[in-house]
Amino acid sequence: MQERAGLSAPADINSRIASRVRSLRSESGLTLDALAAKSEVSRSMISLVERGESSPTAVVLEKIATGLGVPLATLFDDAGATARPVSHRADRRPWRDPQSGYVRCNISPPDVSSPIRIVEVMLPAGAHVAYESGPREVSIHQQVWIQEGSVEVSVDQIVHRLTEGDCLAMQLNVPTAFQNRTRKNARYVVVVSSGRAA
Amino acid sequence: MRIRQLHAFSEAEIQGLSDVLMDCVEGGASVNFMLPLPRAKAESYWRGLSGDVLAGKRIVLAAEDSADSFLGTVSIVLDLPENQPHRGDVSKMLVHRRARRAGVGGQLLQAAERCAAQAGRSLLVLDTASDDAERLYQRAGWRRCGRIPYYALMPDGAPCATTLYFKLLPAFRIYARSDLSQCLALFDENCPAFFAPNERADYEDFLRREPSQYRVCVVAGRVEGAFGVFARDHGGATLNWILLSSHVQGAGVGSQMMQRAVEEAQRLGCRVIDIAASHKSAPFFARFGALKIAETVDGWGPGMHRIDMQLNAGIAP
Repeated sequence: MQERAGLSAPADINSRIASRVRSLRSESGLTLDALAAKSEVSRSMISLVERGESSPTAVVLEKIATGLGVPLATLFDDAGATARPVSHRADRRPWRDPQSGYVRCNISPPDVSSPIRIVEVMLPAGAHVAYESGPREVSIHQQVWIQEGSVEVSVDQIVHRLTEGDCLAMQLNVPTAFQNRTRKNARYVVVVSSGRAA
Repeated sequence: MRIRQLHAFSEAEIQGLSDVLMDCVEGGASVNFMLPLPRAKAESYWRGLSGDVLAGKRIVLAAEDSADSFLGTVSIVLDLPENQPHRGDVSKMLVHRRARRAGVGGQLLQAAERCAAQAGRSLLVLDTASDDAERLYQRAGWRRCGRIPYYALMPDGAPCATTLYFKLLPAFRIYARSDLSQCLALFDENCPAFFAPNERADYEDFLRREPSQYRVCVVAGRVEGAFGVFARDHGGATLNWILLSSHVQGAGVGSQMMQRAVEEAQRLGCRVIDIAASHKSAPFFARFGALKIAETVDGWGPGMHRIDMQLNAGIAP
């Protein structure tokens, strides 16, 4: 239960995601319909996410991020916070994927213009999450560094078995999946370059 | 069954790979080994490759069943001379006899192609002495180059010919403003063979609107083809401005573009693709099952007749 205590109220993080999706969509000049077509997420779902009235899954958020041309991590940015060089553990807001149960947390200090995001993920024993996204307009590079346990990461349906200390580099223009086939929770760090020039 | 890329070989992986190699050689596969092949020799072969795998000189994939037992393997050799940085050699495509006729080879081959593409390679080459394997490669769009008699020996000492195959691995990406000049160069290369000179201005207009559904086909860093699939209101799609460079004509790239086009149409929920072809390009589309609907003499310009065709996107080409 210790871990749950660290989780912020869903409403808080959902409203942060909501404002992030709204502002990224308006920056890119996309209508709801245009983003729905690009992301293959229904217009009504995007609208619910933008109003903070839905608890979207990581898979849905990743599709929306792809449609917006940014990595998933960007949707968790605290755009309201002032850019600063240091982030503290106590200030972080973990988010739990309602579908797979994985918990992610942006580690990078708040600065939406940074081209790099560091994310920490806890993938529970037996959990599986698969992102379907295909070609992106901008290529996004990502590296996954295993801190604890063992994770099988598949890139374009080819599985890589990674254990503590291993690091995998990949590009996010193909479907990817993360699976913990062990009985022990796994923890890894994702370093992702943002899709757009800052 | 799933395909896994092996990195630092574990002892269990060396055993699994050796089982597959020994079974294939016992079954008569010509893969650099003679009979008898003792286990120690098979293990030492794989152990010897471990360094190349860690150094990124070779990719080794394994097909495994749900109990993590190996059914087959394939390697891609990337350690080639500096004038062939874009090529990879497919080798040691092996499927255990107990797992044959179950699609393992096809999945290994597809995975090898995706892996090579991820590693930035745009051409794969292989040679084979097996008729079954040849059928597999041909189904997967590989092109046969020729047969060399007396190339090697079968495991029992009989002389054995080999047949060479290649496949180009084009990358497809969304059209970007910076592709404009390369796309226009493709047009110029295909004019007047497939397009009328008066169509160039239309093409440039089209490109300047930066259509988000337009795709370029890149081989070894060069734009060698382009096409766009656009959804229509009535639930159909149109295939527009499909161009292919003469460098890669007849090398299987056109087929891969058409396959992509059909997949795009399916993704857009369209079952029928309308193609406004010319009398020069119509035979190409007919190869993929497109049917002629109408013909307009001089429809694209003097001497360039328009042929309207339709392709059923419900069936993959």
